[in-house]
Amino acid sequence: MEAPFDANTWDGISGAIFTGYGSVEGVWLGLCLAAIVAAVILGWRHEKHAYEAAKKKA
Amino acid sequence: METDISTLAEAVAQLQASSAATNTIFAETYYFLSIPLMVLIHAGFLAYEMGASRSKNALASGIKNILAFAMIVPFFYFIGWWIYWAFPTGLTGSEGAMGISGFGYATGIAAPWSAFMGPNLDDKSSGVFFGAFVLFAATTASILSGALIERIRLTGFVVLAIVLGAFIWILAAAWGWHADGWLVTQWGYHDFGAAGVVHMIAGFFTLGVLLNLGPRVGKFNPDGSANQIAGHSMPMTLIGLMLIIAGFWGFLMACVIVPGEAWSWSTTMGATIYGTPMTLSGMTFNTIMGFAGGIIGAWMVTRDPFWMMSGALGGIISCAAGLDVWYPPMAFAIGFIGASAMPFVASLLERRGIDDAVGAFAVHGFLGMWGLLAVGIAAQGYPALAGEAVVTTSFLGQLVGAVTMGLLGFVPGYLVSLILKLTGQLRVPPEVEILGLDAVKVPSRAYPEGINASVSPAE
Repeated sequence: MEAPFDANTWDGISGAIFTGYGSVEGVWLGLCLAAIVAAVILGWRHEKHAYEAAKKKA
Repeated sequence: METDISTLAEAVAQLQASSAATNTIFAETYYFLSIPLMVLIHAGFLAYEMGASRSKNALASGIKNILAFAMIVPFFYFIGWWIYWAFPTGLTGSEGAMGISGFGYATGIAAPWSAFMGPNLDDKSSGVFFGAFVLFAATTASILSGALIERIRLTGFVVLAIVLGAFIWILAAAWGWHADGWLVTQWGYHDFGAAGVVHMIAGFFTLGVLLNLGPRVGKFNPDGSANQIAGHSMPMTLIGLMLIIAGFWGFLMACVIVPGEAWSWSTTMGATIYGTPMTLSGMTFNTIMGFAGGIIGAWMVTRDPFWMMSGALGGIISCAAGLDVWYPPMAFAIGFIGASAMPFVASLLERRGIDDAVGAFAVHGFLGMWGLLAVGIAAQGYPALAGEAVVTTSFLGQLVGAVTMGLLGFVPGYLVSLILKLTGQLRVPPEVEILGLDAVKVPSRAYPEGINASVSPAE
Protein backbone atom coordinates (compact mmCIF):
# COMPACT_ATOMS: atom_id res chain seq x y z
CA MET A 1 0.00 0.00 0.00
CA GLU A 2 2.67 2.41 -1.02
CA ALA A 3 4.62 3.50 -4.06
CA PRO A 4 5.90 0.45 -5.94
CA PHE A 5 9.38 1.94 -6.19
CA ASP A 6 11.86 3.44 -3.78
CA ALA A 7 13.02 6.79 -5.17
CA ASN A 8 13.18 10.50 -4.48
CA THR A 9 12.71 11.52 -8.08
CA TRP A 10 10.50 10.65 -11.01
CA ASP A 11 13.54 10.60 -13.27
CA GLY A 12 14.09 7.09 -14.55
CA ILE A 13 10.78 5.76 -13.30
CA SER A 14 8.83 3.70 -15.87
CA GLY A 15 6.23 0.94 -16.05
CA ALA A 16 3.41 0.41 -13.55
CA ILE A 17 3.28 3.12 -10.90
CA PHE A 18 0.00 2.33 -9.19
CA THR A 19 -0.21 1.94 -5.44
CA GLY A 20 0.51 -1.53 -4.19
CA TYR A 21 1.62 -2.87 -7.58
CA GLY A 22 3.12 -6.31 -7.19
CA SER A 23 2.03 -6.78 -3.58
CA VAL A 24 -1.52 -6.15 -2.35
CA GLU A 25 -3.72 -6.17 -5.47
CA GLY A 26 -5.59 -9.23 -4.20
CA VAL A 27 -6.63 -7.45 -1.01
CA TRP A 28 -8.20 -4.57 -2.90
CA LEU A 29 -9.82 -6.83 -5.46
CA GLY A 30 -11.35 -8.83 -2.61
CA LEU A 31 -12.48 -5.67 -0.89
CA CYS A 32 -14.18 -4.44 -4.09
CA LEU A 33 -15.97 -7.72 -4.50
CA ALA A 34 -17.01 -7.80 -0.84
CA ALA A 35 -18.39 -4.25 -1.12
CA ILE A 36 -20.46 -5.19 -4.16
CA VAL A 37 -21.79 -8.36 -2.51
CA ALA A 38 -22.69 -6.41 0.64
CA ALA A 39 -24.46 -3.73 -1.40
CA VAL A 40 -26.42 -6.30 -3.39
CA ILE A 41 -27.46 -8.21 -0.25
CA LEU A 42 -28.61 -4.99 1.44
CA GLY A 43 -30.42 -3.97 -1.74
CA TRP A 44 -32.11 -7.36 -1.94
CA ARG A 45 -33.24 -7.07 1.70
CA HIS A 46 -34.57 -3.56 1.14
CA GLU A 47 -36.58 -4.76 -1.84
CA LYS A 48 -37.91 -7.76 0.06
CA HIS A 49 -39.04 -5.70 3.03
CA ALA A 50 -40.55 -3.02 0.79
CA TYR A 51 -42.57 -5.60 -1.14
CA GLU A 52 -43.76 -7.32 2.02
CA ALA A 53 -44.89 -4.00 3.48
CA ALA A 54 -46.72 -3.11 0.27
CA LYS A 55 -48.46 -6.49 0.17
CA LYS A 56 -49.66 -6.02 3.75
CA LYS A 57 -51.11 -2.60 2.87
CA ALA A 58 -52.80 -3.88 -0.28
CA MET B 1 30.12 19.25 -43.05
CA GLU B 2 30.19 16.50 -40.42
CA THR B 3 28.93 18.95 -37.83
CA ASP B 4 26.07 19.93 -40.13
CA ILE B 5 25.04 16.28 -40.64
CA SER B 6 25.26 15.62 -36.94
CA THR B 7 23.11 18.66 -36.17
CA LEU B 8 20.64 17.60 -38.85
CA ALA B 9 20.45 14.03 -37.49
CA GLU B 10 19.82 15.42 -34.02
CA ALA B 11 17.06 17.67 -35.34
CA VAL B 12 15.46 14.75 -37.22
CA ALA B 13 15.60 12.59 -34.08
CA GLN B 14 13.92 15.36 -32.09
CA LEU B 15 11.26 15.78 -34.75
CA GLN B 16 10.62 12.03 -34.80
CA ALA B 17 10.30 11.90 -31.03
CA SER B 18 7.99 14.89 -31.06
CA SER B 19 5.89 13.38 -33.86
CA ALA B 20 5.64 10.05 -32.02
CA ALA B 21 4.58 11.82 -28.82
CA THR B 22 1.94 13.80 -30.71
CA ASN B 23 0.64 10.66 -32.36
CA THR B 24 0.47 8.82 -29.05
CA ILE B 25 -1.41 11.58 -27.31
CA PHE B 26 -3.75 11.79 -30.31
CA ALA B 27 -4.50 8.06 -30.10
CA GLU B 28 -4.98 8.20 -26.35
CA THR B 29 -7.22 11.26 -26.66
CA TYR B 30 -9.20 9.73 -29.52
CA TYR B 31 -10.39 6.78 -27.42
CA PHE B 32 -10.65 8.90 -24.30
CA LEU B 33 -13.11 11.21 -26.08
CA SER B 34 -15.13 8.28 -27.40
CA ILE B 35 -16.00 7.50 -23.77
CA PRO B 36 -17.95 10.68 -22.86
CA LEU B 37 -19.65 10.45 -26.23
CA MET B 38 -20.72 6.92 -25.38
CA VAL B 39 -21.91 8.11 -21.99
CA LEU B 40 -24.46 10.07 -24.02
CA ILE B 41 -25.90 6.68 -25.00
CA HIS B 42 -26.57 6.05 -21.34
CA ALA B 43 -27.95 9.51 -20.73
CA GLY B 44 -30.25 8.71 -23.63
CA PHE B 45 -31.27 5.29 -22.38
CA LEU B 46 -31.96 6.82 -18.97
CA ALA B 47 -34.33 9.44 -20.38
CA TYR B 48 -35.80 6.93 -22.84
CA GLU B 49 -36.64 4.36 -20.16
CA MET B 50 -37.97 6.85 -17.66
CA GLY B 51 -40.13 8.48 -20.31
CA ALA B 52 -41.41 5.10 -21.48
CA SER B 53 -42.43 4.19 -17.93
CA ARG B 54 -45.64 5.33 -16.33
CA SER B 55 -45.07 8.12 -13.81
CA LYS B 56 -45.54 5.66 -10.94
CA ASN B 57 -42.42 3.77 -12.09
CA ALA B 58 -40.27 6.53 -13.55
CA LEU B 59 -37.58 6.65 -10.86
CA ALA B 60 -37.42 2.89 -10.39
CA SER B 61 -36.67 2.60 -14.11
CA GLY B 62 -33.97 5.25 -13.73
CA ILE B 63 -32.37 3.49 -10.76
CA LYS B 64 -32.29 0.22 -12.67
CA ASN B 65 -30.54 1.82 -15.62
CA ILE B 66 -27.97 3.71 -13.54
CA LEU B 67 -27.16 0.71 -11.36
CA ALA B 68 -26.65 -1.60 -14.33
CA PHE B 69 -23.97 0.74 -15.66
CA ALA B 70 -22.21 0.90 -12.30
CA MET B 71 -22.37 -2.86 -11.63
CA ILE B 72 -20.88 -3.77 -14.99
CA VAL B 73 -17.77 -1.63 -14.54
CA PRO B 74 -16.10 -3.60 -11.69
CA PHE B 75 -17.08 -6.98 -13.12
CA PHE B 76 -15.69 -5.99 -16.49
CA TYR B 77 -12.48 -5.06 -14.68
CA PHE B 78 -12.43 -8.33 -12.72
CA ILE B 79 -13.14 -10.69 -15.61
CA GLY B 80 -14.68 -9.18 -18.76
CA TRP B 81 -11.54 -7.64 -20.22
CA TRP B 82 -9.65 -10.90 -19.57
CA ILE B 83 -12.35 -12.93 -21.35
CA TYR B 84 -11.97 -10.78 -24.47
CA TRP B 85 -8.29 -11.64 -24.82
CA ALA B 86 -8.50 -15.23 -23.54
CA PHE B 87 -11.19 -16.82 -25.71
CA PRO B 88 -11.00 -15.62 -29.35
CA THR B 89 -10.05 -19.05 -30.66
CA GLY B 90 -12.87 -20.78 -28.78
CA LEU B 91 -13.21 -22.01 -25.21
CA THR B 92 -9.80 -23.70 -25.13
CA GLY B 93 -7.86 -20.52 -24.42
CA SER B 94 -5.25 -21.33 -27.07
CA GLU B 95 -3.24 -18.64 -28.83
CA GLY B 96 -4.39 -17.49 -32.27
CA ALA B 97 -2.34 -16.77 -35.38
CA MET B 98 -1.98 -13.05 -34.60
CA GLY B 99 -0.48 -13.88 -31.21
CA ILE B 100 -2.82 -11.55 -29.35
CA SER B 101 -5.08 -14.08 -27.64
CA GLY B 102 -5.11 -17.08 -25.32
CA PHE B 103 -4.90 -17.57 -21.57
CA GLY B 104 -1.23 -16.61 -21.33
CA TYR B 105 -1.61 -13.40 -23.31
CA ALA B 106 -4.83 -12.43 -21.53
CA THR B 107 -3.36 -12.99 -18.09
CA GLY B 108 -0.32 -10.92 -19.00
CA ILE B 109 -2.22 -7.86 -20.17
CA ALA B 110 -5.77 -8.06 -18.79
CA ALA B 111 -5.84 -9.96 -15.50
CA PRO B 112 -6.88 -7.46 -12.82
CA TRP B 113 -3.45 -7.70 -11.15
CA SER B 114 -1.59 -7.08 -14.43
CA ALA B 115 0.81 -4.15 -14.68
CA PHE B 116 -1.35 -2.80 -17.51
CA MET B 117 -4.56 -2.59 -15.50
CA GLY B 118 -3.74 0.72 -13.83
CA PRO B 119 -1.49 3.77 -14.20
CA ASN B 120 1.56 2.66 -16.17
CA LEU B 121 4.00 5.13 -17.70
CA ASP B 122 4.78 2.74 -20.56
CA ASP B 123 1.17 2.06 -21.51
CA LYS B 124 -1.02 4.79 -22.97
CA SER B 125 -3.73 2.63 -24.46
CA SER B 126 -5.02 -0.13 -22.14
CA GLY B 127 -7.13 2.16 -19.95
CA VAL B 128 -8.82 4.00 -22.79
CA PHE B 129 -9.52 0.76 -24.69
CA PHE B 130 -10.84 -0.80 -21.49
CA GLY B 131 -13.04 2.25 -20.95
CA ALA B 132 -14.47 2.09 -24.45
CA PHE B 133 -15.22 -1.63 -24.07
CA VAL B 134 -16.88 -1.04 -20.70
CA LEU B 135 -19.17 1.45 -22.41
CA PHE B 136 -20.04 -1.17 -25.05
CA ALA B 137 -20.81 -3.56 -22.18
CA ALA B 138 -23.01 -1.01 -20.46
CA THR B 139 -24.85 -0.46 -23.75
CA THR B 140 -25.84 -4.13 -23.82
CA ALA B 141 -27.27 -3.81 -20.31
CA SER B 142 -29.18 -0.67 -21.23
CA ILE B 143 -30.73 -2.47 -24.20
CA LEU B 144 -31.89 -5.19 -21.81
CA SER B 145 -33.05 -2.71 -19.20
CA GLY B 146 -35.62 -0.90 -21.33
CA ALA B 147 -37.54 -4.01 -22.33
CA LEU B 148 -38.07 -5.13 -18.73
CA ILE B 149 -39.36 -1.94 -17.15
CA GLU B 150 -42.12 -1.74 -14.58
CA ARG B 151 -42.07 -5.33 -13.29
CA ILE B 152 -38.57 -6.74 -12.80
CA ARG B 153 -36.89 -6.98 -9.39
CA LEU B 154 -33.87 -4.72 -9.15
CA THR B 155 -31.49 -7.34 -7.74
CA GLY B 156 -32.63 -9.92 -10.28
CA PHE B 157 -31.98 -7.39 -13.02
CA VAL B 158 -28.52 -6.61 -11.63
CA VAL B 159 -27.59 -10.30 -11.92
CA LEU B 160 -28.81 -10.39 -15.53
CA ALA B 161 -26.98 -7.18 -16.41
CA ILE B 162 -23.70 -8.49 -15.00
CA VAL B 163 -24.05 -11.80 -16.85
CA LEU B 164 -24.77 -10.02 -20.13
CA GLY B 165 -22.33 -7.13 -19.79
CA ALA B 166 -19.33 -8.80 -18.19
CA PHE B 167 -19.54 -12.34 -19.61
CA ILE B 168 -21.79 -12.95 -22.61
CA TRP B 169 -21.32 -10.01 -24.93
CA ILE B 170 -17.57 -9.94 -24.40
CA LEU B 171 -17.32 -13.63 -25.26
CA ALA B 172 -19.20 -12.81 -28.48
CA ALA B 173 -16.75 -9.96 -29.07
CA ALA B 174 -13.81 -12.33 -28.57
CA TRP B 175 -15.25 -14.68 -31.19
CA GLY B 176 -16.41 -12.16 -33.77
CA TRP B 177 -14.77 -8.83 -33.03
CA HIS B 178 -11.12 -9.76 -32.68
CA ALA B 179 -8.51 -10.53 -35.32
CA ASP B 180 -7.96 -13.97 -33.77
CA GLY B 181 -11.70 -14.61 -33.34
CA TRP B 182 -12.68 -18.02 -34.72
CA LEU B 183 -15.73 -16.60 -36.50
CA VAL B 184 -13.44 -14.20 -38.34
CA THR B 185 -10.50 -16.47 -39.10
CA GLN B 186 -12.58 -19.50 -40.09
CA TRP B 187 -15.73 -17.95 -41.56
CA GLY B 188 -14.77 -14.45 -42.63
CA TYR B 189 -17.38 -12.96 -40.29
CA HIS B 190 -17.51 -9.18 -40.64
CA ASP B 191 -19.17 -6.95 -38.05
CA PHE B 192 -17.40 -3.60 -38.10
CA GLY B 193 -19.92 -1.66 -36.01
CA ALA B 194 -20.98 -4.45 -33.63
CA ALA B 195 -24.41 -5.22 -35.11
CA GLY B 196 -24.00 -8.80 -33.95
CA VAL B 197 -21.66 -8.68 -30.98
CA VAL B 198 -23.51 -5.88 -29.20
CA HIS B 199 -26.99 -5.40 -30.65
CA MET B 200 -27.98 -8.91 -31.63
CA ILE B 201 -26.50 -10.45 -28.49
CA ALA B 202 -28.32 -7.97 -26.25
CA GLY B 203 -31.57 -8.27 -28.21
CA PHE B 204 -31.66 -12.07 -28.11
CA PHE B 205 -30.61 -12.15 -24.44
CA THR B 206 -33.52 -9.78 -23.78
CA LEU B 207 -35.92 -12.05 -25.64
CA GLY B 208 -34.86 -15.00 -23.46
CA VAL B 209 -35.50 -12.95 -20.32
CA LEU B 210 -38.86 -11.64 -21.55
CA LEU B 211 -40.17 -15.19 -22.00
CA ASN B 212 -39.62 -15.89 -18.32
CA LEU B 213 -40.50 -12.45 -17.01
CA GLY B 214 -43.94 -12.26 -18.58
CA PRO B 215 -45.99 -9.18 -19.50
CA ARG B 216 -46.89 -6.24 -17.28
CA VAL B 217 -50.19 -6.44 -15.42
CA GLY B 218 -52.86 -5.14 -17.79
CA LYS B 219 -50.83 -5.51 -20.97
CA PHE B 220 -53.00 -8.30 -22.34
CA ASN B 221 -56.74 -8.87 -22.12
CA PRO B 222 -58.22 -12.30 -21.32
CA ASP B 223 -58.84 -12.84 -25.05
CA GLY B 224 -55.13 -12.31 -25.74
CA SER B 225 -55.48 -8.91 -27.36
CA ALA B 226 -52.91 -6.33 -26.32
CA ASN B 227 -53.38 -2.94 -24.70
CA GLN B 228 -50.97 -0.11 -25.31
CA ILE B 229 -49.38 0.95 -22.02
CA ALA B 230 -48.17 4.45 -22.81
CA GLY B 231 -45.19 5.91 -21.00
CA HIS B 232 -45.67 9.13 -19.07
CA SER B 233 -43.44 11.34 -21.23
CA MET B 234 -43.06 10.82 -24.94
CA PRO B 235 -40.92 13.98 -25.25
CA MET B 236 -38.46 12.58 -22.68
CA THR B 237 -38.35 9.31 -24.62
CA LEU B 238 -37.71 11.09 -27.93
CA ILE B 239 -34.93 13.23 -26.50
CA GLY B 240 -33.46 10.08 -25.00
CA LEU B 241 -33.44 8.38 -28.37
CA MET B 242 -31.74 11.38 -29.96
CA LEU B 243 -29.08 11.30 -27.23
CA ILE B 244 -28.51 7.61 -27.94
CA ILE B 245 -27.95 8.46 -31.58
CA ALA B 246 -25.52 11.25 -30.63
CA GLY B 247 -23.69 8.73 -28.50
CA PHE B 248 -23.58 6.29 -31.37
CA TRP B 249 -20.95 8.44 -33.02
CA GLY B 250 -18.71 7.75 -30.05
CA PHE B 251 -19.62 4.07 -30.23
CA LEU B 252 -18.63 3.90 -33.91
CA MET B 253 -15.56 6.08 -33.34
CA ALA B 254 -14.35 3.53 -30.80
CA CYS B 255 -14.75 0.75 -33.38
CA VAL B 256 -11.82 2.23 -35.35
CA ILE B 257 -8.16 1.38 -34.77
CA VAL B 258 -6.17 4.57 -35.31
CA PRO B 259 -2.83 4.40 -37.18
CA GLY B 260 0.70 5.04 -36.11
CA GLU B 261 1.04 3.30 -32.74
CA ALA B 262 2.88 0.11 -31.85
CA TRP B 263 -0.48 -1.67 -31.51
CA SER B 264 -1.99 -0.13 -34.68
CA TRP B 265 -2.58 -2.17 -37.80
CA SER B 266 -0.99 0.49 -40.02
CA THR B 267 1.29 3.49 -39.80
CA THR B 268 -0.83 5.55 -42.15
CA MET B 269 -4.37 4.19 -42.41
CA GLY B 270 -7.26 3.76 -39.99
CA ALA B 271 -8.46 0.19 -39.67
CA THR B 272 -11.30 -1.92 -38.40
CA ILE B 273 -10.83 -4.12 -35.36
CA TYR B 274 -9.93 -6.90 -37.85
CA GLY B 275 -7.06 -4.89 -39.33
CA THR B 276 -8.87 -4.17 -42.60
CA PRO B 277 -8.50 -0.61 -43.93
CA MET B 278 -11.28 1.93 -43.46
CA THR B 279 -11.80 5.66 -43.18
CA LEU B 280 -13.80 7.79 -40.77
CA SER B 281 -14.97 9.64 -43.83
CA GLY B 282 -16.52 6.55 -45.41
CA MET B 283 -18.10 5.51 -42.14
CA THR B 284 -19.64 8.98 -41.83
CA PHE B 285 -21.26 8.79 -45.28
CA ASN B 286 -22.88 5.50 -44.39
CA THR B 287 -23.90 6.27 -40.83
CA ILE B 288 -25.76 9.40 -41.89
CA MET B 289 -27.42 7.67 -44.83
CA GLY B 290 -28.49 4.69 -42.68
CA PHE B 291 -29.81 7.07 -40.04
CA ALA B 292 -31.94 8.92 -42.60
CA GLY B 293 -33.18 5.72 -44.25
CA GLY B 294 -34.21 4.39 -40.86
CA ILE B 295 -36.26 7.44 -39.93
CA ILE B 296 -38.02 7.61 -43.28
CA GLY B 297 -38.74 3.88 -43.37
CA ALA B 298 -40.23 3.88 -39.87
CA TRP B 299 -42.24 7.02 -40.60
CA MET B 300 -43.63 5.44 -43.76
CA VAL B 301 -45.08 2.47 -41.90
CA THR B 302 -46.06 3.99 -38.53
CA ARG B 303 -46.32 7.85 -38.54
CA ASP B 304 -45.36 7.48 -34.87
CA PRO B 305 -42.50 9.63 -33.45
CA PHE B 306 -41.45 6.82 -31.10
CA TRP B 307 -40.90 4.46 -33.99
CA MET B 308 -39.35 7.20 -36.13
CA MET B 309 -36.62 7.77 -33.56
CA SER B 310 -36.27 4.04 -32.99
CA GLY B 311 -35.99 3.84 -36.78
CA ALA B 312 -33.07 6.27 -36.69
CA LEU B 313 -31.31 3.94 -34.28
CA GLY B 314 -32.48 0.91 -36.26
CA GLY B 315 -31.23 2.37 -39.53
CA ILE B 316 -27.72 2.74 -38.14
CA ILE B 317 -27.82 -0.73 -36.56
CA SER B 318 -28.97 -2.22 -39.88
CA CYS B 319 -25.89 -0.76 -41.57
CA ALA B 320 -23.50 -1.21 -38.65
CA ALA B 321 -21.80 -4.43 -39.71
CA GLY B 322 -20.73 -2.96 -43.05
CA LEU B 323 -20.40 0.76 -42.31
CA ASP B 324 -16.80 0.58 -43.51
CA VAL B 325 -17.68 -0.66 -47.00
CA TRP B 326 -21.25 0.23 -48.02
CA TYR B 327 -22.04 2.42 -50.99
CA PRO B 328 -23.99 5.17 -49.15
CA PRO B 329 -27.28 4.80 -51.08
CA MET B 330 -27.11 1.10 -50.23
CA ALA B 331 -26.71 2.04 -46.57
CA PHE B 332 -29.81 4.18 -46.91
CA ALA B 333 -31.75 1.29 -48.47
CA ILE B 334 -30.57 -1.21 -45.83
CA GLY B 335 -31.58 1.19 -43.06
CA PHE B 336 -34.89 1.91 -44.76
CA ILE B 337 -35.74 -1.78 -45.22
CA GLY B 338 -34.72 -2.69 -41.68
CA ALA B 339 -36.62 0.16 -40.04
CA SER B 340 -39.70 -0.53 -42.17
CA ALA B 341 -39.77 -4.13 -40.95
CA MET B 342 -38.99 -3.28 -37.31
CA PRO B 343 -42.51 -2.28 -36.13
CA PHE B 344 -43.94 -5.48 -37.64
CA VAL B 345 -41.44 -7.56 -35.68
CA ALA B 346 -42.52 -5.73 -32.52
CA SER B 347 -46.18 -6.45 -33.36
CA LEU B 348 -45.37 -10.10 -34.01
CA LEU B 349 -43.85 -10.45 -30.54
CA GLU B 350 -46.87 -8.73 -29.02
CA ARG B 351 -49.23 -11.14 -30.77
CA ARG B 352 -47.21 -13.95 -29.20
CA GLY B 353 -47.92 -12.52 -25.74
CA ILE B 354 -44.44 -11.06 -25.25
CA ASP B 355 -44.36 -7.62 -23.65
CA ASP B 356 -41.21 -5.85 -24.85
CA ALA B 357 -41.93 -2.41 -23.42
CA VAL B 358 -39.65 -0.44 -25.76
CA GLY B 359 -39.27 -2.74 -28.76
CA ALA B 360 -35.73 -3.68 -27.77
CA PHE B 361 -35.77 -7.01 -29.56
CA ALA B 362 -37.11 -5.52 -32.79
CA VAL B 363 -34.60 -2.66 -32.80
CA HIS B 364 -31.49 -4.43 -31.55
CA GLY B 365 -32.01 -8.18 -31.92
CA PHE B 366 -33.81 -8.28 -35.24
CA LEU B 367 -31.99 -5.38 -36.88
CA GLY B 368 -28.63 -6.57 -35.60
CA MET B 369 -29.35 -9.86 -37.35
CA TRP B 370 -30.49 -8.03 -40.49
CA GLY B 371 -27.28 -6.02 -40.41
CA LEU B 372 -25.14 -9.16 -40.33
CA LEU B 373 -27.09 -10.84 -43.11
CA ALA B 374 -27.05 -7.67 -45.22
CA VAL B 375 -23.25 -7.92 -45.32
CA GLY B 376 -23.60 -11.54 -46.39
CA ILE B 377 -26.03 -10.56 -49.15
CA ALA B 378 -24.46 -7.39 -50.48
CA ALA B 379 -20.84 -7.24 -49.32
CA GLN B 380 -19.45 -10.64 -50.19
CA GLY B 381 -15.86 -11.09 -51.27
CA TYR B 382 -14.06 -8.56 -49.07
CA PRO B 383 -10.89 -9.86 -47.37
CA ALA B 384 -11.95 -10.34 -43.75
CA LEU B 385 -8.52 -9.80 -42.21
CA ALA B 386 -5.22 -8.04 -42.83
CA GLY B 387 -2.55 -10.03 -44.65
CA GLU B 388 -2.23 -12.20 -47.74
CA ALA B 389 -4.64 -14.91 -48.94
CA VAL B 390 -7.06 -14.41 -46.06
CA VAL B 391 -10.64 -15.65 -45.83
CA THR B 392 -13.26 -13.39 -47.45
CA THR B 393 -16.72 -12.29 -46.39
CA SER B 394 -19.59 -14.52 -47.51
CA PHE B 395 -23.27 -15.12 -46.88
CA LEU B 396 -22.50 -18.42 -45.18
CA GLY B 397 -19.98 -16.78 -42.87
CA GLN B 398 -22.47 -14.09 -41.87
CA LEU B 399 -25.20 -16.70 -41.39
CA VAL B 400 -22.96 -18.78 -39.12
CA GLY B 401 -22.16 -15.60 -37.21
CA ALA B 402 -25.84 -14.65 -36.90
CA VAL B 403 -26.84 -18.10 -35.64
CA THR B 404 -23.95 -18.06 -33.15
CA MET B 405 -24.87 -14.60 -31.89
CA GLY B 406 -28.54 -15.53 -31.59
CA LEU B 407 -27.83 -18.65 -29.56
CA LEU B 408 -25.09 -17.07 -27.47
CA GLY B 409 -27.49 -14.29 -26.53
CA PHE B 410 -30.75 -16.18 -26.14
CA VAL B 411 -29.69 -19.32 -24.26
CA PRO B 412 -27.92 -17.65 -21.29
CA GLY B 413 -30.67 -15.00 -21.08
CA TYR B 414 -33.34 -17.67 -20.93
CA LEU B 415 -31.50 -19.95 -18.49
CA VAL B 416 -30.35 -17.32 -16.01
CA SER B 417 -33.78 -15.66 -15.94
CA LEU B 418 -35.39 -19.09 -15.51
CA ILE B 419 -33.25 -19.72 -12.43
CA LEU B 420 -34.19 -16.29 -11.07
CA LYS B 421 -37.84 -17.02 -11.78
CA LEU B 422 -37.76 -20.40 -10.06
CA THR B 423 -36.13 -18.84 -7.00
CA GLY B 424 -38.65 -15.97 -6.90
CA GLN B 425 -36.06 -13.31 -7.73
CA LEU B 426 -37.20 -12.21 -11.17
CA ARG B 427 -40.47 -10.36 -10.82
CA VAL B 428 -42.05 -7.98 -8.32
CA PRO B 429 -45.32 -9.08 -6.69
CA PRO B 430 -48.46 -8.03 -8.62
CA GLU B 431 -49.68 -5.81 -5.77
CA VAL B 432 -46.45 -3.84 -5.99
CA GLU B 433 -46.68 -3.57 -9.75
CA ILE B 434 -50.19 -2.14 -9.51
CA LEU B 435 -49.26 0.26 -6.73
CA GLY B 436 -46.16 1.43 -8.61
CA LEU B 437 -42.51 0.72 -7.87
CA ASP B 438 -41.60 4.29 -6.92
CA ALA B 439 -44.09 4.49 -4.07
CA VAL B 440 -42.99 1.12 -2.71
CA LYS B 441 -39.22 1.34 -2.73
CA VAL B 442 -37.86 4.69 -3.91
CA PRO B 443 -37.19 7.28 -1.20
CA SER B 444 -37.92 10.23 -3.50
CA ARG B 445 -40.63 11.26 -5.92
CA ALA B 446 -40.30 11.96 -9.63
CA TYR B 447 -42.96 14.66 -9.65
CA PRO B 448 -43.65 15.76 -6.07
CA GLU B 449 -45.78 18.67 -7.26
CA GLY B 450 -47.93 16.44 -9.40
CA ILE B 451 -48.32 15.27 -12.96
CA ASN B 452 -51.22 13.86 -14.91
CA ALA B 453 -52.23 10.59 -13.34
CA SER B 454 -51.11 7.35 -14.98
CA VAL B 455 -53.89 5.99 -17.11
CA SER B 456 -53.68 2.40 -18.17
CA PRO B 457 -55.63 -0.80 -17.85
CA ALA B 458 -53.43 -1.71 -14.90
CA GLU B 459 -54.71 1.20 -12.79
